[in-house]
Amino acid sequence: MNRADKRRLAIALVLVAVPVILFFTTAPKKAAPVAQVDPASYEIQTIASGLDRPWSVAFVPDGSRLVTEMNGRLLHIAADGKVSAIALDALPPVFRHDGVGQLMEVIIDPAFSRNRLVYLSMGYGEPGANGTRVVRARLEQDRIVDVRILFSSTPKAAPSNNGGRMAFLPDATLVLTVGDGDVRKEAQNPGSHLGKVVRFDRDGKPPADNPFQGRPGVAAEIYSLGHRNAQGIAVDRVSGALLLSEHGPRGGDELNVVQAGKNYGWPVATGGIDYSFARVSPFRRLEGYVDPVLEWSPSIAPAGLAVYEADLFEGWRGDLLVPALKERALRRVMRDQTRIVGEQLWLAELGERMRDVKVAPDGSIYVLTDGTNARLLRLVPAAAAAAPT
Amino acid sequence: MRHLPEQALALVCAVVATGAVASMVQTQFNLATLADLGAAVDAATRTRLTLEDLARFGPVMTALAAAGLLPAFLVGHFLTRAAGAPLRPLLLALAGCVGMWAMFTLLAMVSPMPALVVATATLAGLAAMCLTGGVGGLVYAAMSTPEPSASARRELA
Repeated sequence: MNRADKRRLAIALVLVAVPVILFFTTAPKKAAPVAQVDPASYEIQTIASGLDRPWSVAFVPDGSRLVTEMNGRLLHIAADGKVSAIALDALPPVFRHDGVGQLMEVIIDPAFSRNRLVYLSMGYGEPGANGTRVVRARLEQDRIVDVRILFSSTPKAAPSNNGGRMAFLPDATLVLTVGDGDVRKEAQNPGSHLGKVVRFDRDGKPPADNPFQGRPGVAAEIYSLGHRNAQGIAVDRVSGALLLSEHGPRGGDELNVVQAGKNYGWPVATGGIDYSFARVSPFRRLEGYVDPVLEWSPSIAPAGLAVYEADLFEGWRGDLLVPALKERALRRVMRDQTRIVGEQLWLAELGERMRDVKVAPDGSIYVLTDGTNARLLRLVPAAAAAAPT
Repeated sequence: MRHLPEQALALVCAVVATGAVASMVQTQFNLATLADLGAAVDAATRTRLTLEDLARFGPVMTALAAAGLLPAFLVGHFLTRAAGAPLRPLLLALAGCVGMWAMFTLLAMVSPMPALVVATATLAGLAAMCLTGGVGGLVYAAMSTPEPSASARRELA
């Protein structure tokens, strides 16, 4: 090899090294470490195991629990732990992608003891035109009956970013998160449900006081806009605030306090970093868009949200619980009134993706792990360890 | 292959040039979408984001460009041997564009999201990003010595 050839190879090596060095020196920094709670301070009880991609858990007043599995099963877990499937023959077809269904959330009616109504969110449609749907049904013994479709979102082409979490507001209207369907500008399109929180009553009608009701060109169900893929929604019964957690891409997961008619910025104002490492937007904050109250970068993949409103875990009242898929832990977001004062990691020792969290009427915490051999866990403080109630 | 160090340097320059140009193109498409949504994007913001993306997304795009251009230039070599030197820049530029298209198409098939590189979500964006492979093709053609054509080799023999 002559001198010129050696020089050429050296230049080639430098040209390869420059992007590599640039990438590692400008890559998003790791988040500050969050305190991991001593596992000895709580007890984990396995309520059910062998679950196939569970998505949501709900509590029935008789002490039993309902669990959805994405592939289209609704399970009843009795107070004694016996698991049985509820027949869903009356359910409209659930959209499937790559062999996996999109049955998502289950919640019960505020007057369930009287009317036995449940609400299910699910994917509907077909590849190239699918969306998020909510149905109402009456739970009768081991089956659902009187199924009624309450809401079907604007269809989207991609099978991803579906949202699908629901909550009842204090006025007994229902809010649902709808993802942007991986078409980010749709989150700013007022004529589309994609990238929004939508609100409708228990018959599926948009309430008269919805913020954009009657406005031409705006979907009447829209409650707030500018969300990417919110998969956590909960009402703080003390302050009345509607809280929302949403997935960013590689970074920019957000916790938002949702107000009617407000715009939460995606994709114009966001700290999000794309999967390809490109910035989603140069603007983290912009006038006219509401800032998150908390941001997680890099992404933890928050898949649910609950407000702790009990006393079993002493001093937790008002704190938020966030199950994280990517972080493989349950985050406790500690609050002083509504001000965030700290965070802790729970269940990190399990190393499992966390899909859902709910607080049981007795104050214990139920967590669904994710995947094809998942579990429903119940957490109680070590000192108060007791049989499930 | 003769002139290996020369070809290697030409290939690296072509890949880095394509990665850098593609990064800048992606940023402009991204900013155009944000401007469509009502964001005021001034020159300083555009420059800052373009440079930030160039530093962080550029290396990723360069790796993707390598995956697209390497097989494309191999095919291009065979084509230029048959077609002759005058058509070499054109054929290698074309090969670069097709290589980038094949790479983005494969990426869309294996990636869980519809478009890992967001600009390629629209037809115009995909076309523009594929054209950056043409830049790589021209750089490679300019920096590397053509292999003799089959007829020239026969004459030399």
